[in-house]
Amino acid sequence: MKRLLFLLFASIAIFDPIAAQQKVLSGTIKNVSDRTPVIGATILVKGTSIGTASDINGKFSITTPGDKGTILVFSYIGMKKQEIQVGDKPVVDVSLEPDVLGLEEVVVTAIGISKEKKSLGFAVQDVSGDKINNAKTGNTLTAMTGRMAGVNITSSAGVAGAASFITIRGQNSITGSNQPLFVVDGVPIDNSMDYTGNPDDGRNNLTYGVAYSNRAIDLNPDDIENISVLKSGAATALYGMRAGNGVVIITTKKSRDTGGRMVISLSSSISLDKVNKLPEMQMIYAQGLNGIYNTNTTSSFGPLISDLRFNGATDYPRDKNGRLVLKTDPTAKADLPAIAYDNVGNFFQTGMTYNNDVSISGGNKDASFLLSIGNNSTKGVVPRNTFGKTSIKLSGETKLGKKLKVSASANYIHSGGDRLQQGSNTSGVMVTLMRCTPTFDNSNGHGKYGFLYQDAYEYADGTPRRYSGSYDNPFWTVNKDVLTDRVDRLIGYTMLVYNPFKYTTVSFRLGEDVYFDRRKGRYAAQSANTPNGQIEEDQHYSNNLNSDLTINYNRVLFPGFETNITLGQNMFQSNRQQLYVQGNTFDIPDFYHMSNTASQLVREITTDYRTAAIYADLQFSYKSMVFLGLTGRNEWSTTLPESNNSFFFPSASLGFIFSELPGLKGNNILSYGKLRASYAKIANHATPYNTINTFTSTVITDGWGTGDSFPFNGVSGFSPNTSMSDPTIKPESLVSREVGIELKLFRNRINFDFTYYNNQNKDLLIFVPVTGSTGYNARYMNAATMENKGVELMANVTPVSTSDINWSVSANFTKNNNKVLSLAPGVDNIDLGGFTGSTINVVAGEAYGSMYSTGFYKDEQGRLIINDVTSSAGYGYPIKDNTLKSLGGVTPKWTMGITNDLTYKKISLSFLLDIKRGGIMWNGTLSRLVGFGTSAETEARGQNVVFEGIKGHLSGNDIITSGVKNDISAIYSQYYYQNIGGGSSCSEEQFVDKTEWFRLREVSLSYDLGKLINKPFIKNLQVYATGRNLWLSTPYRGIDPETSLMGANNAQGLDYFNMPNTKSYVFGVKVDF
Amino acid sequence: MKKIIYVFLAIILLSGSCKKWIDPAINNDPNNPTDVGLAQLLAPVEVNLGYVVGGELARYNSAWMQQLAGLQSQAQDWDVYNITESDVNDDWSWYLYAPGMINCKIMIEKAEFGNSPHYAGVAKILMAYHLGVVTDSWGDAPYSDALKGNDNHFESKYDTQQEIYSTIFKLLNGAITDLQAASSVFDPGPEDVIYGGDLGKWLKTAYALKARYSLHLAKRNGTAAYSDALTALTNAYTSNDDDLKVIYGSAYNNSNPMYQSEQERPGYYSANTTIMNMLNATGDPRRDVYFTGSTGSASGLPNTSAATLGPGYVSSDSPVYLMSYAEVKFIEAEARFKLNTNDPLALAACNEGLKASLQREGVYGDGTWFNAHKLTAGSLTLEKIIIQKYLSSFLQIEIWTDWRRTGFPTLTLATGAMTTQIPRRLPYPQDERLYNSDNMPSGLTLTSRVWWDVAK
Repeated sequence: MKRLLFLLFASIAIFDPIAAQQKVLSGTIKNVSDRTPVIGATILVKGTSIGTASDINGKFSITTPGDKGTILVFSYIGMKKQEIQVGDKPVVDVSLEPDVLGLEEVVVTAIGISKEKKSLGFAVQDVSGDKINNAKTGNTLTAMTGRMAGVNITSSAGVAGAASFITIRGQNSITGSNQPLFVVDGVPIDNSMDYTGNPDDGRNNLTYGVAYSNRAIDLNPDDIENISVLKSGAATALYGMRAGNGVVIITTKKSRDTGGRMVISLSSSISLDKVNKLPEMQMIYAQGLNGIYNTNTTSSFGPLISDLRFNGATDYPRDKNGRLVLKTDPTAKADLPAIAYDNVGNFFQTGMTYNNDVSISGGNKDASFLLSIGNNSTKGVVPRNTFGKTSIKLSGETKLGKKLKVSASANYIHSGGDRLQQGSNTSGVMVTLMRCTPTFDNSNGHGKYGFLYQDAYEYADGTPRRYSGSYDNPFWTVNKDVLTDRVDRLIGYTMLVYNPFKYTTVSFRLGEDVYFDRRKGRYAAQSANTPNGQIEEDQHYSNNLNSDLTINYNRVLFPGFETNITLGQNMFQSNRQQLYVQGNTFDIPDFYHMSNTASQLVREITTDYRTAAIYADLQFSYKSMVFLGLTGRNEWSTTLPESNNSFFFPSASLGFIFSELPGLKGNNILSYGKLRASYAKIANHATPYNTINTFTSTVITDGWGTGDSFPFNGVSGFSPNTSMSDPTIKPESLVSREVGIELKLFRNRINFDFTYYNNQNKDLLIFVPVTGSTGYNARYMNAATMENKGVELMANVTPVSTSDINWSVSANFTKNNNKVLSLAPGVDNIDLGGFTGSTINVVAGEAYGSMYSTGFYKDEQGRLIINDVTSSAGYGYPIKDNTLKSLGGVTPKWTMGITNDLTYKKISLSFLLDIKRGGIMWNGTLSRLVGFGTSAETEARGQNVVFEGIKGHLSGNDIITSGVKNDISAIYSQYYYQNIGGGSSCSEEQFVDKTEWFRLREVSLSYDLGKLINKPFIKNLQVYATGRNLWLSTPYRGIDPETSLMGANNAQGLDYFNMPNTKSYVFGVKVDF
Repeated sequence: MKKIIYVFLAIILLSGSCKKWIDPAINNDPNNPTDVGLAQLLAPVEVNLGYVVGGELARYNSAWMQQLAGLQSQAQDWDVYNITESDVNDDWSWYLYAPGMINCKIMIEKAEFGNSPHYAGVAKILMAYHLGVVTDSWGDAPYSDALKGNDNHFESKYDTQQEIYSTIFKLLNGAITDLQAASSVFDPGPEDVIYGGDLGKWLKTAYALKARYSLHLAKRNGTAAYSDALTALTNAYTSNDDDLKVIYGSAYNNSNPMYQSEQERPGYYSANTTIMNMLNATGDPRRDVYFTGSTGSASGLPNTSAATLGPGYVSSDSPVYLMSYAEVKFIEAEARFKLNTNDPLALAACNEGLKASLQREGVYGDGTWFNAHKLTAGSLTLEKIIIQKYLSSFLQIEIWTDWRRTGFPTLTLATGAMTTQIPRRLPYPQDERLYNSDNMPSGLTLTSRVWWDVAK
């Protein structure tokens, strides 16, 4: 790195040019329509980075090279750009026109290069910071949901601090990451979702444990100016091997020239969160088996609650009203009828989120700064669940001399919270809450406040108070089985921009993102999952270092022909380290310290890699009508074998604004029309350490018990790494093609943007499963091919636009068809994760993420075979087929977001509808709740049923059927619910539900009071109210199907006691001084 | 333009530094070694073998053989023979073949190459044991063409069970030779968590296993099987001290598999009425070692108030028995009885087996119960021998093999059974169907018999 810096300064020294005659220019910028000053407009000397901004009176002053040919470029968001040749004038007054067509809009593209949207030969979509801010979700990703075509964002749960999963134009990698690269102000940041748990247990950790954060959650939404999403290969090619899944470019607010004044902005909001959807529970039947009340069982197949009475005994800590007995029992108290306790209703709270942000900025034409401090504090809907973050960001820039500009930014973030157990976990919140019988009061009479009272979850002798020995009381779980994480993170960069001579800009940016995530998991002794107690100390360290040196040359070569060339060099390094210590078996019950554990397990994992690249970006334009972009990048990565580690990735894009053609220009109907096409060959590199076979410390685990590992009683043990390496791997190759058309009609009243893309991915690196009889379980190799073809449609219509009222409707539509073309020789199915009866697989010939479930035997016509063996316990019921069969793709067929924006004077109303069609999920929660007899579906118990199908049975593996229609009257019995229609071994096919939805994603009402108050020191005052997720319509029989058990992981489509989602009511205020 | 060329040159200079930046050593895995020695390979085989044989396989076997009853979830499924290819996948792919047999294979190769016959002998015994478990559970299985992933061979042909049995005897005979070699560069030491490097006990184990696997072939080989077993037994175990057992540790990640199961899935298992009735009938003192009470739960009819497993078998450091002196004596009793029903040594061996079991469980005391309940001359039957073996082999998978060979103890089908008979084999695992389907035998059900399980 030192060498790099030296070279940079050397290059600056070499190129210091002879100073030219300089000249100071000043002027005022006004809005042409209402003659008000334009504040903060950018003034640039064309071909240089010399620039300034207008002050609050619209005034500016700038030092130019003094050349008569100097051109000043004036620009401001929403205004048409103007270029003025200075000549001899000392004062330049400018009137900017509103940019009705939005053609001057500038977007940030790869390597932070800003380009005019109209010049691009590929689709880019951006969202302004305001939209993200007003949603106040705490997680920037969640706020983007539904706003972009081609971008699919799923939040994993409605709990505080939960991760969001994002894919752009479908999946590109089979078992590698499908998450895009996140770049903040030119610095690639880490968006990992690090999990806690014994690393030996691999992805199994994700089916239980807590809901983790993806690290983009650390970004403060209030700091964000703009998010732009690069979707096609041509757009991302300059980022190289880490950008195969697209790039999310986040630009934060920058300091600017305020004329020496200090500008203060405050924003504050409060959000009330409530659970939006839950599985329906039965409240009619008591704990028990086969209609008999029994407190030893985990099931609720007991008698009718209305047939039970309390006996009034006072020596029974399980219930203050005494023991439950049949109403015919002599001890039954007639006036003490049994109660169906509303355990679920008593459990969830109203969550609260507070967001406060203050920013202070100031500057003059030479130097400026921006300090922003934001705090988010969330109390979840699950009691004791919290998440919070504090972000302090200081950025500034200064000019050193005439040709050098230095800017820097440092953003410190402290985030973390208290997280609670979920998923397949006998101490999990939803498992313990939903399996609990209605005749046991988890709160022990404290209702909503159960979590505050120790006597709800603990008896006087310290033993747990719970409905069954197998499952904790959820109030125990939230108080005693908590994982706390604390993240300290610094994201920063230093940037030098140097103009050695006209038309040429050299810039160097050195950025670093480093975080330390310290976690402590406490699992009390006597918890169902950890009867002896357990603590975890888990530390994750991540350091990403990135440098980009670019040289830009921008010049009109001859009239109408402009060229813009950028050459660059990039170096990147990632260091990650995890230190995990698990202590087991407490001596002192509630003392959570390693010194109190009888044994400890220690794991250490280090993952380092580096990449280096040189790249070029060539842009040519002809008469603002034809735009050609060519890029090339050669990259080296340490994760690839030395002999095979250099790869070149080219791209080409073409934009043709046909409305500029003579004859079409100035057309009243077609204001603007553009065709675009692009092609790129890009890549994903390998994960580190997969080129040489190794031995690993042996781990023995079966998903049933935690398993054993080494050292074993002090003896170390190793065996061949079960995944074989490949010394000949190469990067995954992704070929991306895109065509599109943009139309603006009737002076922008109707906008239309259509894109078709076709991405062909080959040599995808996968851990190809092999059977254990080879001595291994998988081999890493370039094997799979996959394609994503799709359309994206964006439309915007403004039916009403007057000076007072404006109504616009915009919609985005996404349809992505993913198909896995092949996996590996002899392998056409890879399991991504799941449970015994339901797994998420990648299957050749199907879309990425296929649901594989057990089902029922059917004949060729698809009719159920109904068991006709009278001696069989399953007589009269469908017959379970244990073979896992494909039920289709978990990802949606299409999605659509519709935003309505209405403004009347200073009042704005906006609502976002989110529609999703297609996609399925395994409702494992319901499957188990039926088996436990707590689901409302089991209220049909005792009723007779004749299953539709034909009579038959199995003989060996063969179906024997006479084809006769079934007429056997069976009964919805406990046996049925636990073995056929539900329970842990039922055919899961019946619990694979559609996840489509129609939801009111967001409603926002804001009122601009600035003018009303009319105090000179208040520049702007806005109050707003936002509702999120207020209404949801879905056929899914459980929680809100926007959920993911495994978080930001490839195996989407699993719901096994996932935490529910929430709806929120946000109230906020923003003031600028 | 000239200046641009300078700039370009600067970039070229910088890219020169790429070479150093992209140092291939960065991709050397800091977390895992590229090679290890014999001493690092042995313990995983032993611990892993105990974990699968005393864990998942014991859970299926003991449920079907009605020592345990499943009260909920998967345990309840297995009780009624509802077992799937994915249930057994880990047993095959993640225990027995890898790391179990692959480590044995590497150990044998390394030991033979490095003139360490003593190590080779131990590795061969362990390999033979793994093969025995695989073939007795599944029948035909890959071996001679297996464990070759490193040679890019991923679809292994199956050996017949008959071939595998001859491989087992070949390995055991090889081990007997190797263990008696005069010198060996490396000798197993403390890393041998079973015997701590005691070669004499390994030698006895080789003979004990020869006896066990000879006996397995009784339905095929007739009297030769019994006499082979008796011949081998002369060099096998002489006391409980010789038992081949993995003793687990107090650390949670070093603990007994059934202990972990009970810790993490409490309430899944209880005593089965079949074994409980037998124990109750004689007031067998082992009942209180095996279980915490005197009530059982019938297969397929969960009784949640039945007794749970006893601390002798579900403590963190409970051993998993892989071969025992008691079993050796029961093999002797059966072999002698089958050769000559009046052989007095058959009775003596059977009672010695019972005594060894009582002593091992720490309930022999002054022998009062033993003396009152030991078998007496003239009353000996094959059923009695096998039932004594059954009661002395708690949670050991050998009881399933005994039942398939002899039909004892007599068991009734579980209520709500998913099959028409108690299973006689495990389904081939999912991995084999998916990734080795050309070689995997097809058309088999849970009740299809393995080669040695000749229908009578």
